[in-house]
Amino acid sequence: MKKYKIKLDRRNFLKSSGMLGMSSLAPGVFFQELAQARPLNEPASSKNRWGLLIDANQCSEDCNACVTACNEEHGIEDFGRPTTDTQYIRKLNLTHEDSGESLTIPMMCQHCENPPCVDVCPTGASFIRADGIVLVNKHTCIGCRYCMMSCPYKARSFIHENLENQVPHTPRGKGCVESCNLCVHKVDKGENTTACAEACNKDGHQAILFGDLNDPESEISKKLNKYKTTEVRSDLGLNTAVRYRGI
Amino acid sequence: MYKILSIKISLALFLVLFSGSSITHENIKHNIDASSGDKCVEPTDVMRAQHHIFINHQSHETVVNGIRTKKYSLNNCINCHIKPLADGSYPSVKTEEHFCSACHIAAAVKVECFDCHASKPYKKVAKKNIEDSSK
Repeated sequence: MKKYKIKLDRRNFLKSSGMLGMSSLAPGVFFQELAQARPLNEPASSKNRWGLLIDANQCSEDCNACVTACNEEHGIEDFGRPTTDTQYIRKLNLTHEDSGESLTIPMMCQHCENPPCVDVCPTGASFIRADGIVLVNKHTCIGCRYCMMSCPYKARSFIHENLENQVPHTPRGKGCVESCNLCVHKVDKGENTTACAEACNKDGHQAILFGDLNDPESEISKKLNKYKTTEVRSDLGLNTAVRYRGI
Repeated sequence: MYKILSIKISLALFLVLFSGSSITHENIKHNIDASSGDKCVEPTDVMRAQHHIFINHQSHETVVNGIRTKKYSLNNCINCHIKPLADGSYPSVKTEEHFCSACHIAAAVKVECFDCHASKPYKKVAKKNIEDSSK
């Protein structure tokens, strides 16, 4: 399941670029069956790789709809302690030091293909699912918070409080680490969207697009093909499933 | 001397064991009605003995593999077994009115599922149950 492809020497580069060429020759043959929703009794498959494309040009600085929708979807309460309260998504407002150009983007778990949080987890609680979604198995998490330290995106939060009234599809409890789960309950139901993407579309920004990076016919793949997109901290070679446009 | 003591001890044991005050599932009253269906996913004696094994297995399948079949899902248990009280609110998991807690409190077994998991039905299901109970 885990594929570590950081070592990209000349030989491997040539091999993988050759394979890429082959797969693009006959995309219909390889990928035709990918678009259908998976039955409930079938496990997640590595045929899919779920991801997000975030368009910074469409994202508005005064809008917080994705964060609000995420909190509501996952039952995240505000305890009035911004330094420790759980955040699956946070809005970043950035200003270029020299030009003064400003930028606003949502930041969440980037669902890396080579996730540092999985590398450092002592219990195996932090794991990457077959379809590329990085999750915390809270049955196994001991709350050591190594993953929080290792994450370059500061995507993870620790639950400091006793919780009540959790929502059924997102079990959360004191002493566990958690982060954006790419609305895995929606993905498993075949809804093909996330709470943040829905909220963003509803507000008319269309800045967040959810889709299957492995399916060349999906809207997200087409856009990734067409436009220049960026991985945040691409220098780390993590191959993130969340890509940004216009940063 | 010892004879009298042994008689006292055996009498005490007899009283403790056979006085009828022992707790069985039969004399715990559950707040459950027939509207959810007439039987559980397995026969009652199997569920009593092994529900935790089914749930534990299912939790692994769901979290790690993304399999979300309903049969042994904890949410499915909750949706059927947790019914609103007379005032329309759901019983707290800390009280004996909660289906799971009724036995777990009586048997002094600490149940940790609900430290993280929802102990009552969610929105749409919740609404339907309240409508059902008011009919």
